[in-house]
Formats: sequence, C-alpha cells, structure tokens
Amino acid sequence: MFDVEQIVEETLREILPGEADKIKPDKKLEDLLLDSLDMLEFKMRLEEKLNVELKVEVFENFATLREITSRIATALQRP
Amino acid sequence: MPDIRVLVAVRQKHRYAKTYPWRKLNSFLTGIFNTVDYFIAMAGLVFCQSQARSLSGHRTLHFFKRIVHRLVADLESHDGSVRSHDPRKTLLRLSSVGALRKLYPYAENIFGLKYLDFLYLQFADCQQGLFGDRPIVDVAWNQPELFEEVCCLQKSCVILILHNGFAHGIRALSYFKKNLVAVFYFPEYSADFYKANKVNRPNDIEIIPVDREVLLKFTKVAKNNKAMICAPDAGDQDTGHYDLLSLGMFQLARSVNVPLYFFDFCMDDDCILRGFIKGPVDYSAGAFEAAEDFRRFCQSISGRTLTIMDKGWESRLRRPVSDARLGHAAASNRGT
Repeated sequence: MFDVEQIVEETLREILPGEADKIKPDKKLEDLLLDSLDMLEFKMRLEEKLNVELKVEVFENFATLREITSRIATALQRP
Repeated sequence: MPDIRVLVAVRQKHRYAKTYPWRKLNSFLTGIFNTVDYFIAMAGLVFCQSQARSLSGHRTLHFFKRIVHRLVADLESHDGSVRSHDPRKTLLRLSSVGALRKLYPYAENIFGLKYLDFLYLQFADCQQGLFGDRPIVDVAWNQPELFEEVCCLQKSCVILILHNGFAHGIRALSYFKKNLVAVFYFPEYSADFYKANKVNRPNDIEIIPVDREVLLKFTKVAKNNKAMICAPDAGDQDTGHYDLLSLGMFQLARSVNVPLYFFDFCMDDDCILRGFIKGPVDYSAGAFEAAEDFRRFCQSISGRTLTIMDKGWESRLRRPVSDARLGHAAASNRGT
C-alpha cells in the first residue's frame, strides 16, 4: 500500500519546486503559490500516480494537504 | 469639460430641434466641434510629450469618444432608422470621418484592435450610453458549416475567443441548442452583459468565475456535453493592455481530451463582421504549441499581438516561462 500523504507532498513539490520548504501537511493550498494551471496539473498528476479519478471536490474549499490526503484515501477505499 | 451627452441633449431637445434649418445648422456645428476636439487632442499630444504615454492615449481616447458620441447622436436625430436597423450604415459613416481616423493611432487601445474594430467598439459603447441600446451586427462566418458542426457537437468542446469578440461569439452560439458554459472575471455583471449583447437564453448559460479552481471545475463540466467558452487573453497589470495569453484552457482541452476550436472576428472594409473558425485544433504537441497556433490565428484575423504567459489567467501577471512545464519549445520562445 502506498503512502498517499507522501505522494501528495511529492507531487506538490514537483509542481512548486521553489516552495518545497513550505509544503507541510497543515498547509492550506491557498497559502501556496498555486494558480489554476498548477491546480489542474496537481490533479492530473495525482490521478496518474494513484491511478484513480479524483473528484474536483477533493481540492475545493481551501483544503489543507492533510484534508486532501484524507479525501483521496477515502476515494481510494471506495469500490 | 461638460459631459458630451449633456451637450448633445441640449442641442437636440429644444423646440426647433426637429426643424430642417436647425438640423442643417446642427450638422455644421458638429463639424466645427469635431474639428475643435481634434485640434485639442492633437495639441495635447504635442504639448504632453513629457507625460506618460498611457495618459496621452487616455486623453486622445476621450476626444475620440466625444466625436463618436456627437456623430452618433446626429445620425440619430437626422435619421432615426439608422441606429435601430442598420448599425453597419452608421459604422460606414463614422469610418469616413477623417478626424477619427487621424486620432485612432494615438488613442488608448487596450485590445490593440484594428481601426474598424476599434471604431465599432467605441460606437457600440457610445450608443449604449446614449440610447441604452447596443448595436448588434450579424456575423458572416467564413465556414458556416464548421460553425454549425461546432454547435451540433454531441460532446463537450472548448471554444476560445478573445475578449473583443467574446460577445459576438457567445451570442451566435446562444441561438443553438448546445449547452454553454462561460468564464467570467466578474460573474455579477454577466446578466447585464448578456442583456446588452442580446444573448439568447442567458439563464441557461452556466457561469464559472475566474479563480484558482476554474480549470478544475471545467474538468467536471467537460463530462456534461457542454461548449466551454473562454477568453484566454488577459490584461497586463503594468500596462493595462490585453496582450497576454494564458495557457490554462489549452492545457485543459488537452487534459480532458475534448475538441478545441478557435474563434476570431474582424470588421472588413465594408463594415461586415467576419467570423473565422479554426478547429478542431491538434494539441497533441502540447499546450504551448496550441497556444502558439491560437496566437498566430488571432494575429492573422484581428491583428492582435499576444504574448503567451506561463500562468493561469486569473493571476494576470507575467512570470518567466519554466522549461519543465512547457518543454523545449517554450525555452526557445523565452522572452518573446
């Protein structure tokens, strides 16, 4: 079983190499310098790595990375 | 300086306003006032050399608009049918006014439009301000069959139109059954925009506001067989000119694998609004290449010069292009 939290953080680091130090589980997405293009890339890369289609709601409401991880974990558990 | 609308109203609402002698005199006065406005604007350009270029451009635009206002009001008072039935006729008359043609290169032109497109925009704004009714011109499509094909697509698609042609495009599309989704910077003004531009079934058009989640929302919309319409050009915060082009929608079309179409518009010499369509565009080489294609397409039609920016267009800021995202092609285009 892969570590979702690690994959989420890794993916974000790939997209925002200059912000690597700021990427922490409690960090909100809105506090990172992500634009709409980065958000799209974030979603696409996660889907590719996790081999699952993620709903837009996973990333909404200014979620923290921990919340996103938890939502993705829930999505992965669904049949 | 008194508001031009007040001056126009004063000259047209007195008891003799409809009489033949006054109408003749009014035309004569219009010519004099236009000449005065022209010389004030030109004098301003000469004596304000030391001021910022944007300031003199703004000032010239002010006088350009004054002349358009005066002429449109005159045409209305002379021939009421001109405004309501044939905006093209009014535009043809305006286009022959020498003062406007001479002021045009110096007037602030945030979209970088060609003369007739710029004139149409000023004319439309002015008529809406004077009479509350925006002139609508029908689009003559270069490939009507392709336009119908887009409207009858049985799946989602992305349609990109620059800001200056957005109203023409969305109005034309709104008369077909295809469900539409449009991106708005200011969704609260969308109802007024639709009303002014006589867009059909405005309530059926879904609106997505511009924010950092806009492309994510589109990935959801893409599953619902809708035409996603967006103006990918953005204003530069420093200059105020809409000469930036966001990669967002190109990347989106590629990511969700839906057909991508380009629309652009321009007025020809006979003041007929020509609509051009290109698509479905091949984006397999990458979002940047598709954006380059769009940039070239727009330059050849409406003459607009755009710079591709590596940023979602909600940011409206320039940022250096990163090789990682754009690949080799971007690296070779850096700084253009």
